[in-house]
Amino acid sequence: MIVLFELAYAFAKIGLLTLGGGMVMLPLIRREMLAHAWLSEVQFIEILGLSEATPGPLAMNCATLVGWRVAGWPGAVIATLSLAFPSFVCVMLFGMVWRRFQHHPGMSRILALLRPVMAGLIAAVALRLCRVVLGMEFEAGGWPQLVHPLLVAVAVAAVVVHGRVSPVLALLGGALAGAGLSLL
Amino acid sequence: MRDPVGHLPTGEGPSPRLAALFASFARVGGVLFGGGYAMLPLLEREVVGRRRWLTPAAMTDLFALAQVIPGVIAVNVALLAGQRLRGWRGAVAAVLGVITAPFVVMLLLAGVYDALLRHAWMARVVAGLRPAVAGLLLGTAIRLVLRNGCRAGLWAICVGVAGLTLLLDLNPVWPILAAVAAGLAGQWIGARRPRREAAP
Repeated sequence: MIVLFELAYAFAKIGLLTLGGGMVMLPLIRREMLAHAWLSEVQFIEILGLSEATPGPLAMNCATLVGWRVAGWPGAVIATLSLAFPSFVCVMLFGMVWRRFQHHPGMSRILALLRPVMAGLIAAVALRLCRVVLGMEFEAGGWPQLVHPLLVAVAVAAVVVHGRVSPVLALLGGALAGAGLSLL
Repeated sequence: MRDPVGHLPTGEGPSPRLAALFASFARVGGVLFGGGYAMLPLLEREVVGRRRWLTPAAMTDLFALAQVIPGVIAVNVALLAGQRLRGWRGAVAAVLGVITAPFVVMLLLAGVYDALLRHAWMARVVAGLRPAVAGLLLGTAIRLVLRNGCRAGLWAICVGVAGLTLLLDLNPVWPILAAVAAGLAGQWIGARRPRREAAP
């Protein structure tokens, strides 16, 4: 019973204290998992890899898996919902406060500036991911090893820009093509 | 109280049923690989393209707001979109939808994941998935910029934000807060000066 409260508290804390999601959450999740001895360092890295291969964000997958390990399926449910709960409260408060400003002309100005910022942020994440992926391949086999992942990345990007094919198909097609190319 | 984030441009469609909201976000959650940013193209396909609940601009705006709310980005996007469309019930339906598939898959894998990661074919698919996710994000960024039109100032902001983020390992919250501050400053300066042209 107590362990359920510990899970709820730890994951609510992770949900509340991280702004910006993704990579920003990693250090805090790692610290909580190691401090409670819920995961070892190696297990944490494996979950990182696993959450790339399965749907869902890392923090969510971590909450589900750790909750299940520590306290069975009630633990999995409580840990997962606890992670989302602070966001729920914030979105509700945010909505109430921002309702007053909905017709303020400054709003459209801010949103017009936010769009290119989002494009830049997404491009930065993409380039960083490319660097990590290509770096791994380069270490494994030098320049020739880079050809296949580059082909996959450029092909998927082109398909997404073209916009006729579902991004899911582009993603899965890219993954299978990459796996197939690595067999050659 | 139906429309607390109503300053955003609206979708033209009728407001969705809760079950449809849950189903749409469950569909997105089931194929969400590679974290929050990879969610945008999937949502555009489902919520903007297929369902026509929101305009592309409204979706991008929700996505930007999701960055400055604590927690997991995918969860925040679901909460904001659900609340935008159907109030707090919509937020609950959307967030339960987006976490359902990852939750089930993770529980199924929990027992066998040690063995699974050691499988060679699994390693190959994961290795193939990484450049595919990178390509997906790159394509999404290009689409976002193209949608803005080809104005030099917007390109400069986009390239500047990407460069600073990469060079300084910047928390994405800062460029977003800077854009908010710049928008407010522009508004304040604009309000003190007589208008040269009528607002559209």
